Amino acid sequence: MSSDLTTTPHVLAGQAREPSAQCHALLQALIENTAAAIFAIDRNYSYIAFNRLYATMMREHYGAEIAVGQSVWAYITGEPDRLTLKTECDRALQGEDRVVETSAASETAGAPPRRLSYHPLRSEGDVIGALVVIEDVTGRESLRAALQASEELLNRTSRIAKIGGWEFDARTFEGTWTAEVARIHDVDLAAGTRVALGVSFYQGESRARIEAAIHEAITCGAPYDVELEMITARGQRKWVRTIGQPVLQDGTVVKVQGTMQDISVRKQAEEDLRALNAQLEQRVAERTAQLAASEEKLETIFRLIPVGIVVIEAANGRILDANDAYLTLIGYPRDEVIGRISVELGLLAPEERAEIARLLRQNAAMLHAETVLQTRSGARIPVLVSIARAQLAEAPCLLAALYDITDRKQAEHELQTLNARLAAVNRELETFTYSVSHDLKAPLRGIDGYSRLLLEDYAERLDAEGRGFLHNIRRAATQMSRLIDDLLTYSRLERRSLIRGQVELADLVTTLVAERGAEITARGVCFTVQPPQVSVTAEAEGLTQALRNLLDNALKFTRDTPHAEIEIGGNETANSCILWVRDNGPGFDMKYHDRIFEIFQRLYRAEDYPGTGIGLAIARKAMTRMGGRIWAESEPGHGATFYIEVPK
Amino acid sequence: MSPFPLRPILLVEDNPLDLDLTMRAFRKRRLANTIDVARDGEEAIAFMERWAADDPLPVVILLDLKLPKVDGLEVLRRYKEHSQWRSIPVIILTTSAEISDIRAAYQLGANSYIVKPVDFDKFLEVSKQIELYWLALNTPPQ
Repeated sequence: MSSDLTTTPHVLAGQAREPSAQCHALLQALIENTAAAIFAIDRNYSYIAFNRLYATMMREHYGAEIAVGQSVWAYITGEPDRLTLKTECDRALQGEDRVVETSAASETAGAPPRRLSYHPLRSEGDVIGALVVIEDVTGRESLRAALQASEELLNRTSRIAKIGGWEFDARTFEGTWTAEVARIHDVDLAAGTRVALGVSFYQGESRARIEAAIHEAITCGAPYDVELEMITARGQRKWVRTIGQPVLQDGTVVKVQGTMQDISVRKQAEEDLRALNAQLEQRVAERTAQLAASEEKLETIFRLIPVGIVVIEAANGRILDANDAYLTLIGYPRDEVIGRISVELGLLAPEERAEIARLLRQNAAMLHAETVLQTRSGARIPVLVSIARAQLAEAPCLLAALYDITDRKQAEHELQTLNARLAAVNRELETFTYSVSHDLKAPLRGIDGYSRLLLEDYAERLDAEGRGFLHNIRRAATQMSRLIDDLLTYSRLERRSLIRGQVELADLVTTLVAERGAEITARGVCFTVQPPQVSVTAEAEGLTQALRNLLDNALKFTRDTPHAEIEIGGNETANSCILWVRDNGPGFDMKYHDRIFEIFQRLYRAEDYPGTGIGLAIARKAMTRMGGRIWAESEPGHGATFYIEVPK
Repeated sequence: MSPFPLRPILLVEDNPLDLDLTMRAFRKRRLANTIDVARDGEEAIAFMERWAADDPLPVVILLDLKLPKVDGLEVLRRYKEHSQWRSIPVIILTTSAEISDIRAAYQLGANSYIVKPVDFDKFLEVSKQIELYWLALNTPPQ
């Protein structure tokens, strides 16, 4: 515009020598319809021309009605307007073209920003005046401000999003890129770019791909969107996403425009995520393997355990699971069992089922109940069943373990049979022994009786030898009688059941001593009795028998001792009581200690110390049966002490 | 000796030797009383009929337990169940020292229980005691 106007005054001035009305009208129209306020002055600063806009402006600003021929100074009165006008117009009048842009601040308040241009008016080479064009550049200013703001926003956005724009010419391969793109490449923006440079930041597969993409874009107009790994000018590895849009003109690609974004962060995140996923997958795989192994282990145990196990839903008796041992036990195949109601299978007879149900109602769990299982084949198998309650997958269940006790039952039965037989045998033995003793004794009575009668009534017809024979007969009979008694006692000890009771030892000893009191007094035996004041739990008869035998032995073996001394004493230990019978008889050699407690064993000759040889055996059997013991201490010629120990 | 007319002794014994020896033992004592003998349980029970037929009642009965035909305890029971003859004193004279026998005998009402000794001397002593106590000292039922 300004150039037009600059030339126009030349043209105008040139044609001013012979101005035509047409020219004048054209000029007027031009001036009037220009969007700028225009005025022209002569060298005297008088208006030669002005347009309506200027007139309006002057009217508004200065309230002046200007007219051609009047001096500008008449209206433009204030500073710095006058100075500015003078300065610039003077220069224009010197032949200088001037452009001054004012901002709102330098003008009078309220005035918009302007662009003032001052041009010399020439005519045949001489400057005859000046032309001033005043443009209101408010719009332009705001536009510029907006543009600037917009550019700043774009730049900021660009920087934050790490995205920038680029383009290159498809023919020259010269290009431009925005600041952000340059920043991504770690290069100076001012450096400019070209395709070859851009591509040089890629290597290997990335390079191949970008080159291919560019080629495609240029030749076929194919847009591209690729993610590539690049190495910046500073050697930093980055991941970028570059999008290229070819621009066609008349069917040929003239340029390619696009964006580039630094996606390193995303790529890294992707990488991390991938790694994490891989890690997670690995852990899941491991855990799955562990679970599988664990499950397999449990499965194996469940399947192979030799006890039948079945899992039943408590609410309805449905069989949820069973192991092989169970199925074998009940004789049903798996498919006929799992899912069925247990009652349907008829595994328990009504009485047995009722009993089990009753036990379950009473207890939370049931241990080792005996019942009878009815198998598929109809066999009745005695089993031991234990039931526990469990919560499996939210449903209350019963876990039952069954154990075939056929063998045990059989053994029990056999034992019962044996016991019965034993009892019968015992009874038989008892009767036998009883009869035997009775029947054996009868003839003995005969032997003794008649030999006695012989001695009495036929004594005068017998000589000493004959009488001696009869004595021997009688003695033999007596011995036999005693033997029978002792054997009877011995066998009775074995047969009798152990009836324990509380025994006051002191009382027992006193009673026994009293039994033999007559003999003791008659012989003048020095008798010391100090029984412990203890009560023990023992089989009274056996203990009495043992003690009696010891006492009798002591009395017997001190018969030839001049000052016979017999002592009965005892003491108490933590768990037992020990009694002893001590005599000062002949004693015995300890090497015979064990023998003397055996049946029929005698250390002394019968004529010296008569006896059956069963007394100590009886005593030992009695003590052993009640969990006690008997032993002796002796030295030949120094008496003997016999001890019995009774557990308390 | 006894102020009362002499009543017999009933001896229930199956063993011939024992019987003979017992008789001899009492004879040694010059016993005045008659000794009636039953050789088995059946005979012993049969004596109750004789008593019912006014045969003289024994002053004491010596009863062995081991008897053929009917067991001694059964005889004892029969004697002691009978309203008339239960008052006759019965001495169980037997070899058995079994507690079960002793208990049973007393349970059935035996008046005494003596275990027969094998030794004849002792037996003589026993028979002397029996005679002294039951025949002389004791007042028999009337």
